[in-house]
Amino acid sequence: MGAKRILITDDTAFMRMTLRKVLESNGYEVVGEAEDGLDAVEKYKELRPDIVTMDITMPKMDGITAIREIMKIDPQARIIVCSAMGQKPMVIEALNAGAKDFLVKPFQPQRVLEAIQKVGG
Amino acid sequence: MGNIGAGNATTALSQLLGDRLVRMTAPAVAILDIPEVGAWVGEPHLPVVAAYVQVTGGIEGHAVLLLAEASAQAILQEMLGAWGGDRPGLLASGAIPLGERTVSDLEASALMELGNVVITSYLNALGELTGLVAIPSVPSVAADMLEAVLNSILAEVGWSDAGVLAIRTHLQGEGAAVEGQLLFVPAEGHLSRLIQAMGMVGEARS
Amino acid sequence: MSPASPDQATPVTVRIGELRVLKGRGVLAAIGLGSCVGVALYDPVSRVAGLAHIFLPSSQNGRLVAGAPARYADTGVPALVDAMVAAGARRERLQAKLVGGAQLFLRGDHATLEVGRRNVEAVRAALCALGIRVVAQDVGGSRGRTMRLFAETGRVVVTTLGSEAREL
Repeated sequence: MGAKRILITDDTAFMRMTLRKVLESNGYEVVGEAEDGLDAVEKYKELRPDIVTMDITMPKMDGITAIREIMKIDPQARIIVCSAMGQKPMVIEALNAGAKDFLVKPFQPQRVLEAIQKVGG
Repeated sequence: MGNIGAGNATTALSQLLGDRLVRMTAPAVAILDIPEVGAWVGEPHLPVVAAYVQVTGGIEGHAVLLLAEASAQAILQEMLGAWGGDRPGLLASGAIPLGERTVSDLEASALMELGNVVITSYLNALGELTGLVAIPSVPSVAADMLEAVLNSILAEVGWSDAGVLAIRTHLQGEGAAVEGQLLFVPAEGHLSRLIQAMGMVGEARS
Repeated sequence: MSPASPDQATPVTVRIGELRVLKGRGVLAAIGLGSCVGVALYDPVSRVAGLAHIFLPSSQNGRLVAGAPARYADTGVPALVDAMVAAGARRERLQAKLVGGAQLFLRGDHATLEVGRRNVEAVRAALCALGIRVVAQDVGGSRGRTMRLFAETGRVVVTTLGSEAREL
């Protein structure tokens, strides 16, 4: 069985780089990086990853809208939110939109690995 | 109000610094005319690194993280090292103009992420305290003299004949390795909303 | 007691939205021009010098408030000219030097903040409408600037963080 394929979404190159390093050094395959919600939806269609990490505060299309759009394309999509935004109404909205988990930055690398394992990685 | 927000922000900053201790002072609040804001914050020629977001939603306003240049360097080095990255000569070279230097895309984005995390942590606490949602914009960053940085942000705040309310908290790390301020300026007319919301949340809990 | 040389006199700071006029001696300074524009006007014959620290491009509703006459370019530039004429300057002799109008902030969404550029345009439009020529400028870019205007000579000196002062 091959490594789980992951799409990383964050508007900062720094965050994309750090997530990539953590995931790749733990046996996951990062198949793509998206820099905003619109990019994430397009790349989801193109790459059909197993798991998506999703930021919320991004230009062009925010993460919650992107979650909704991806869930329309694939109701089985497994999306984990990674965002500094941790206010309850937003967390609830993201989970209602279809996200499987919500990690609030800053978080230790271990946290994101645990979340991915939990969601089926 | 500023106290709790800053407590959250210092926890976030502390984690970004590998759990080193970051203290905050009690917040200072003032109502200032636009031309007075700069002098109230600090010495006009001080080189600072700044991250700025506009806040919308239930709470509206402007939030700024200001760091002494050396502090910004220290934090960014920690960030770039902590997750297994290299530690490049920070703010040293690249194609993106930022103040006196040009920086790489990675360094600029690390700075934006720093601003995003610390300011959003502050807003998260404000949101919890008031029961209102505070949504940050994507951050903007700058590195220049304090007065010029603040004046550029004030142009986004706009003019107010009644002055602006400013809430300021100092952040101080171990051995003064980190030195910064968090500034929050609620949008005109929003202070009373904030206070009302806090009052209502207080009543609901009692 | 000999008078201090005007060049070494403590500069009079012109803060956001303010304008000041000096005649023959003294120094006017606008500190920390980010998106703001410092408008220096000088009449070399009467040696009347004026500096306005412009904050935003337009007043829209045309209100002029005494406390901050120069906060908008469209009302501030004429107000500066009026103040200089009242001090003995002649409009047709006035020369302008502009400093500031930068964009200091890098935006995560890659948009431009625009205010700096719009300030410069609004100031230039206001000066043009009054027939005043811009003889020098150090505007735009991404650096904060401090400017000093010397009333004895009309010289303008600009400094940025980490750089030597340079004459405009």
